[in-house]
Amino acid sequence: MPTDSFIADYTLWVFLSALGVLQLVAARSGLSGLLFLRRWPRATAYASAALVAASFAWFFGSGVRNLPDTVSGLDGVTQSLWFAVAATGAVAVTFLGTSAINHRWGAGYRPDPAAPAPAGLDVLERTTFARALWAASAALRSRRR
Amino acid sequence: MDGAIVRWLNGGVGALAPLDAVARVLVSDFFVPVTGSLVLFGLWLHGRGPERFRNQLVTIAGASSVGVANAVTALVNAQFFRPRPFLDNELTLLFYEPTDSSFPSNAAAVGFALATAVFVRHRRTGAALYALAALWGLARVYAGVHYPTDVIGGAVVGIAAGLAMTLLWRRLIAVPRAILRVMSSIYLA
Repeated sequence: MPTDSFIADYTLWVFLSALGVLQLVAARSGLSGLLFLRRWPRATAYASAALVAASFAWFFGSGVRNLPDTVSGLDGVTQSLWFAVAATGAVAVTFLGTSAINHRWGAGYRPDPAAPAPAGLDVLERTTFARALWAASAALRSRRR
Repeated sequence: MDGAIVRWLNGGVGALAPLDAVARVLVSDFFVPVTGSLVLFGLWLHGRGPERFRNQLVTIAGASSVGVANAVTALVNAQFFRPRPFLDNELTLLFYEPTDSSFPSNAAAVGFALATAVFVRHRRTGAALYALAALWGLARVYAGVHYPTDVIGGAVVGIAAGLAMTLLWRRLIAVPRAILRVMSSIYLA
């Protein structure tokens, strides 16, 4: 059985790494609406790479990690489960946090009613996640009326 | 031959402390799977428009190929038990003593499955993941928990799983397209 502290360490490591990867890729893909430091994409990319490297160094440098899953390590299924939890947490923190931090930005965004398919993540080049969701729900409500 | 290679490689354990420290990280159950999964996670966001859609297919193929590789390895392990090399040879272990079958290596299967799914679309990133998967396998032999043929067997299972899942999702393209369309409408894909 894995110990709670091992699971906590693993989850924190994945959470921080996923947060770093999210920021790094968002900075490189021009998804400004997902950046905590929207005005500094290059600095974000470097800081994110450092965060990923630091979280790896912390996890492997802070204790013995080669433990059997029958004692206190993690088996494959449990590992996948906690990876999903941590990565989902990183997505939630990023989407909600950047929407709050950049709440004044991208106010003019309106979804294109004639678009053949949903624009998806591309929208986050022009506005935040919360504003995009709000605009989409407003467009849906006005279409129903 | 298999045993001789393990004994020769494992004979180097203890000679160079920094090498052992790197091997301890590489051989772990976490380093390569988490690195590979983070690559798949990043690909979900990477690119723009149709390019991002194709990257998201890679993420789906990669994740499912790991599941298939695990399942096939577990099936073979259940049918065919090969004792671990440290049971039949005098070795210095850098890892805990696993109790399941040595052949095929689950680590190699997972590493090569991830690498194959990514390599189909992103040659450089895929090649880096192949190198990491190969190092993972080598580290397991060095650490005394696998024979080289276990790693080769695992690699074959992983590559087959990666290719099979990539082809399967291309055939069933309507399924991921529908899922991704729903996720796109709420800005998650």
